[in-house]
Amino acid sequence: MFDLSCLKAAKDLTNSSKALLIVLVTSTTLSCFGCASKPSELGSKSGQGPQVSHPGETSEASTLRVSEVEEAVRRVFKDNALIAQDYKPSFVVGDFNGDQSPDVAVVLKVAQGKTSQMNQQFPPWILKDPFVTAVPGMAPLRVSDDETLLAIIHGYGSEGWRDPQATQTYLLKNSTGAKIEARTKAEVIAANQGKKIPQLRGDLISEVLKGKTGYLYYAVSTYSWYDPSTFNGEPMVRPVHGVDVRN
Amino acid sequence: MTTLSTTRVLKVLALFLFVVALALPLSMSSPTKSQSQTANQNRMPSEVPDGQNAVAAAVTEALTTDMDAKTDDLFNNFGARGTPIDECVADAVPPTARGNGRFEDNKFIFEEEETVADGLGPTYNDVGCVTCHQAVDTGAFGQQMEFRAGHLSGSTFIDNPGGQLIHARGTDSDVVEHITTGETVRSFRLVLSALGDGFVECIANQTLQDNVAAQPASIRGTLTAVPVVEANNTLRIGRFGWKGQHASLLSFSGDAYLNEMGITNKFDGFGGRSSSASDAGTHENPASTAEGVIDVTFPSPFDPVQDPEDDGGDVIAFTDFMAATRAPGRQNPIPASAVRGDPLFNQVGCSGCHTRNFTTAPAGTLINGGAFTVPAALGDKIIHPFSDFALHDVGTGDGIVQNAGQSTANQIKTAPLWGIRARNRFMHDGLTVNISEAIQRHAGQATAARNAFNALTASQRSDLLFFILSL
Repeated sequence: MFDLSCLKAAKDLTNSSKALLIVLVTSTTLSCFGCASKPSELGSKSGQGPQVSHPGETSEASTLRVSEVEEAVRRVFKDNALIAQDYKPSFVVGDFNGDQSPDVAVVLKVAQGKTSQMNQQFPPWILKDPFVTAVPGMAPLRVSDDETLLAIIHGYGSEGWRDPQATQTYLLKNSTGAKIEARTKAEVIAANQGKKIPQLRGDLISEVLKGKTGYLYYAVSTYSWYDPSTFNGEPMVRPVHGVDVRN
Repeated sequence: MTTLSTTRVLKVLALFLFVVALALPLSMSSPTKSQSQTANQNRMPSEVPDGQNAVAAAVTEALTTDMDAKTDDLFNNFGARGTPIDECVADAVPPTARGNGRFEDNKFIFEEEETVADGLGPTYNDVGCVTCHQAVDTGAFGQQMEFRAGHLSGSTFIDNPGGQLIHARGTDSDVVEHITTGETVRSFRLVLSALGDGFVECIANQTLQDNVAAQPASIRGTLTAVPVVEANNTLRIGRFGWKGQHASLLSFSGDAYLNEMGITNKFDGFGGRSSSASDAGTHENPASTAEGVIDVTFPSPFDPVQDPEDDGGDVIAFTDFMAATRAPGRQNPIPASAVRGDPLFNQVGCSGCHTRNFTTAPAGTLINGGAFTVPAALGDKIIHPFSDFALHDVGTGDGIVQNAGQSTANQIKTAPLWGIRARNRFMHDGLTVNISEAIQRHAGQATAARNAFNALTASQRSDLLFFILSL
């Protein structure tokens, strides 16, 4: 009935009005399709929280994700490093650098005989130790045989870490502990009310490291370790007027 | 009647759809994309017609310094050179207008240290231009960091109460600045070199616009339009500072004299004032203390010097010193590896934003809103700054907004790479200590270039890094 009256009314409209209506309906439809093709918000932004994956799971979706993570690891490390299958979970997903593009943090082992490749002079990743502050002249960090490392592959655009262009990677030494999970900034702030909290830009990686529960967080040029029980300020060197200031 | 009513319903529906059609695209942000170039171009000013007074001359390479403090080769022939100042014989004489002073006098004034009696503070970052712009030679780099802070209200950046610039020092412990934990957006910015900036000032607006317009959309930069303080705040394309926040060296110098040293002057631009404002140069930056924001302007107990603390002479001396410096020159001799790496810089896409060449406007061209005429020493010169002087999102943005709008919060000016071999801390925050890692920090608009670099062979990557370190 409604449709019929609309049709009748449409007949009574002038040609220009009809044209206007067609344009508006078309543009609205296109806008909606455009909306659908925009980057989907991350779980953390929509309140779902970062995604945690368990490679040991047998579901088809989980299996698919393992292969996707393997592909992302190969994209950056070629055959020089492999996912550490003995870690459960061996990877977590979140927006760790806060750019609204999903990242993946994955536990890696140096592949057999590839230690030298992992120590190449100009690697396509940034090797860091959250417990060591880099200063000019410092001896470069090195990866050792059989070392377990945490690689955080930053996402690119709406596809995040799955995007073929997603290769910016922070490779962290001394950063693989137990119970690795992704946590939103809000969750960490809520869980640590009354305690000092570093400047957080994105999601965090929660884990038990050296017997203490804490978090890895993106600190612009590196990833830093946040131990709520001991944190007393940003653990970074800020060279101000010739003096290295630790605040 | 029914038809009329239904027609109204349809009209209302059409209006609703129209609003939805408009609102939907606006409400969707694309987080990792750069800002709309169209919006940016629309706010670009048209500069005073270039060429109106231009003098025809052959285009030649700009004079360069060898970046060695032991060599006396800074002067580029803008103005008179004069002789080195010996304080026992005579004081340095500041210019009274741009170009009428002497280089050696201006250099001496640039190298002077200010005291409280000169107007230093009450809040400040350092005691003289040269304390930050010194390595390897007067006017070049420094390892000092400028600290800015603020917070977000929704997605809007708000300055720290008392101003986003948090001074490192004060002349009284009661006015040393502190921020609260609520100021969650914090940024440290490394000192930039001022060598060769006279040539940069003389690049015409249109030249910068044409360069950006030729960039592929995926890496296209955002040019800023900023007020020229000495030209009644006429807008010009910004090129100085990490946010492209200044277009003229005089505006930049006046700003720095107040904001880095605490010395008021009519070119300081405080509160958006032009130099012709009746109260220009009469306000100190308020101090953001633990007890709150304090007005420290004379005759407060913190400031014994009446404003303006500089009559403009020092500021013009700083300006003309910088304008009269040569451009940073290449390593000499250039290593074979750097020669091999040279074409790779273009091949992987670095040159897309790190623009190799610009030619300055012809001598006689009016720039800076008509406040400065390009001199023969700076006009028609080819320079190699390796920057497009535009802002980009390369994933390292500091979240701070200056005078180019909220959309530029996470954009940073392409770092000019000329002279980069003379420093060992990189990116705007100075937190990266080698070039290889600096390249790996490039994301966002620089993602394709970074990936292309990573796709090179190890020896090619090495060659390209040697090329960069030969600049």
